[in-house]
Amino acid sequence: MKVLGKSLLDQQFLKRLDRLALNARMAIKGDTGGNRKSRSKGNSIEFSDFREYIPGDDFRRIDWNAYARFERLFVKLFMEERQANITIFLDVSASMDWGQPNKGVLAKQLAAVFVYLALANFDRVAVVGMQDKPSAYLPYFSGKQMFWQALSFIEGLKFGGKTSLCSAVKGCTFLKRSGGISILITDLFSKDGYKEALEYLQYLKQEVMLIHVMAPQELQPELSGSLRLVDVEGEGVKDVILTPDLLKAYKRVLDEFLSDIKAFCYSRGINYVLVNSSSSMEEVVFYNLMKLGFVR
Amino acid sequence: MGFLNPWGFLFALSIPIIVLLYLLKQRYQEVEVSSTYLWEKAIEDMQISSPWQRLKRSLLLILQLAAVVLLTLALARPFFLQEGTSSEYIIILDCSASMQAEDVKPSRFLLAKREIEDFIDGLLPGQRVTLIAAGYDVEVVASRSGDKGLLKKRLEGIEVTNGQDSVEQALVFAQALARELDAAQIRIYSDNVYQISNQHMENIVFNNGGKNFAVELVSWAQTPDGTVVLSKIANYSGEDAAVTLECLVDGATFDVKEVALPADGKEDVYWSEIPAGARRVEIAILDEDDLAIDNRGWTFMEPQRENRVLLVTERNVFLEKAVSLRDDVVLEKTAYQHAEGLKGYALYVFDGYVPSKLPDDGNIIIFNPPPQNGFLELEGEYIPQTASLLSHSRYAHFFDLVNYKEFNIAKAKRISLPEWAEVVLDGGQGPLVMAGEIGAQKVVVFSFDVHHSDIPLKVDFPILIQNVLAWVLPQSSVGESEFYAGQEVFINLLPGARDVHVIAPSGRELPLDRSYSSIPFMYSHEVGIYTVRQTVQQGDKREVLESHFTVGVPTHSESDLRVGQVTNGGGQTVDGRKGGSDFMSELWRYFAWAALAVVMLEWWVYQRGY
Repeated sequence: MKVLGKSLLDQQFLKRLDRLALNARMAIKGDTGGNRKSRSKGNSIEFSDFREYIPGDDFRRIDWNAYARFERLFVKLFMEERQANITIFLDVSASMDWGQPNKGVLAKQLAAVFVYLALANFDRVAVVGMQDKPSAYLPYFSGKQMFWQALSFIEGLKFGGKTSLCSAVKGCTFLKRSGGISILITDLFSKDGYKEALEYLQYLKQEVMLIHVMAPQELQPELSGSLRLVDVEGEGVKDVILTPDLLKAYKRVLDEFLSDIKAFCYSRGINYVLVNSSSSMEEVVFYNLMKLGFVR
Repeated sequence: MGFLNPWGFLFALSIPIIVLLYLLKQRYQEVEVSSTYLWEKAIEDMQISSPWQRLKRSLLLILQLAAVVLLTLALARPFFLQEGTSSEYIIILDCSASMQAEDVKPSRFLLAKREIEDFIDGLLPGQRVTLIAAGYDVEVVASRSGDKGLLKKRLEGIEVTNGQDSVEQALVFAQALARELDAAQIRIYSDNVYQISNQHMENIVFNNGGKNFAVELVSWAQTPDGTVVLSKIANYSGEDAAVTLECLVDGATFDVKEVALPADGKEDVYWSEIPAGARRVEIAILDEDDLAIDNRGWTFMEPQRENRVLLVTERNVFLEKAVSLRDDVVLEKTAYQHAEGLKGYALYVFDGYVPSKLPDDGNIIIFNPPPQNGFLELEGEYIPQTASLLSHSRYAHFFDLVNYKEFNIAKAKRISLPEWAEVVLDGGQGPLVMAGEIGAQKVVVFSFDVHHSDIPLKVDFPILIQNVLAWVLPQSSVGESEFYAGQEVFINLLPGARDVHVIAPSGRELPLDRSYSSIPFMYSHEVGIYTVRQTVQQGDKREVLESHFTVGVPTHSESDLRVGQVTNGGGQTVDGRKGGSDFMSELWRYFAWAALAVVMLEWWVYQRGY
């Protein structure tokens, strides 16, 4: 057990993770055979469909029982199990390194969890640190033995800079239109919005999972008096007098913001979960993510 | 609307200061947030949802400014003028003895002063006051002044007197003044009701109808049974009363009596067996009433004093008899040859003779001066046809009750009138009788010999001589012995007086000017026994002679404390006991209350954290 890993995930927790798998509704396209069902019919043992024989088909797959019944030649189609390309987008902008407990810690832990799950399912994983552009990139890898390397990569990510989800996602040139799973772990405080980024990922045939991390101080601010609010990402300052009215307005705006995200994700078929950084890792993984069907 | 204190607007300078402080106060505590994105939206949202938000944020500032504006207005003392406001006021303050009455607390006079002070405080810029104190005399203590400090200082200096008021004279004066000034308003502060048909007059009356007892008179008489003192006690109240009287002789209690007094009645009380040799007698009412000053009365039993008179004559029985008629005269006679250089007499009567050097220590009467006497210039003799009295003469009283027209005079000396003298009785070609004063020395000259007339045979002669003696040989320093406070007392210099002082009851000594033989004394303000002390030089003899007079309250006008109607007519009467009339409504109180309300509202808002 590496010392580095200790801070993010412990061994016992990882053992419990062994029983979980990422749940993607989308059939995966990929080159390498894996543990994941693909929409492509293939060579696995799992039956998928019949179709009429056309010359050139492998006649080993002709269903002779069907021929006997219908006097026509059918071939059996089987599901092809493939490796999924899972890309974990971790927001490492300055705004993520904030909150009590810190959003960034939970985000990194979650990223590690997803890496672990993916590797456990024989998927290929890449990790991208996002600021206003992809700031760090761990290319696709697979095999459980890679986990520790990935973990140290995640741990080594430095928070800083601004968030710009769209340009960060678009900057990931390695993403092909070959489908896959994109997991975004972010606070969604993006200066160019988040919708375009999500739409772009869907255009790339990605099944998108959005893990929205927020600190309790963001959900329920406990500020008062005359304050100069300083944006940690250097987006300027705002002088406010924290009146009960302003707090009410903030709550209203926050609710609107969250429900807007939910509505958008629902309409686009994006898995969305809001995670409070004060929640424990176990609670998030075994309750929040499971309940929403992120993992099974 | 106007402002009493426009300087109060300087307070408005604090408005920019508050704004400045408010701007400086906006020191924000810096707080790092993950993103200002939501906050920006929240502020926008708040501004959209309530357009008053911006105002609400500076609600405290607005309230503070409102409080300052209200306080500024309060300090500037805005006012509304009411009807009947005038720019000139004439205030008459009654300073008579009855104003000392305490039926109105603390006393009529003090309350009236307080009312006037309030009135002065309420004066508007441009309004002026003439302040008249109606005491013994009408005194204008402040003339058309708008200076409140000066007016109050002058008002403070006005003192109540023990005498009669002079409000009516003051009113005449005030009305004359009011005619000169346009629309001047006269305000009388008194305990009497003065009503004169004048719309611009207000009478503020301080009177609670107090009950009062007074010692009206104290006098004495020598009877065969000894000295008896008479006192007259009056009850100025509507109910019967019994009062306790004390008689003090030379400062020690001599007797105490209880006297029943009928309502509004007077009672004579006699005090007999006054010890011989007693001088000062004081009668005092021991019961309390509303006016204390008239509860005591005095008399001084003056012992008779002898006056030495020198008659220088060859022989004049008529004159001798006439002069020695007076009890206090000790007459000495001498012939011409022994008359030179005599001294030490109060009066010298020279009949047909004038010494080469006139004595300087006594008064002088000269009959029939001889020619070449070195004192009077004579130009022969004449036969006076008629005798005419110069009635405007100061000495016309010599001929009171004297029928001078029946006088027949055979011959008289023609005397040219000296500077010091004036003619009393004129004989056509010269004075028959002339009189005058040389310094403090009184001189009377008869230009004829009484033997050459029928005057000594008439009953008028002793009267004439007594009248002359009353002037040249006054029985006491003062003609009468009882006066009212504030009355002018004429003090006659004794012949040969060198130094004259009047000692007031309080012990204060007032020196008098000796340049006239009769000196007006105008400081009879205290009540009690006054002593006139004269140091007299007669020849080589120097003696200090004292005479006395008493000063009391004019009870006939001052002791009845109940409201008296003085004159009738229009005008307005205000009861001073309830406070004077308010002619101006000041608004500063309302502004001050509003400012307080705003400050409290601000505190509430602050507490609520808006």
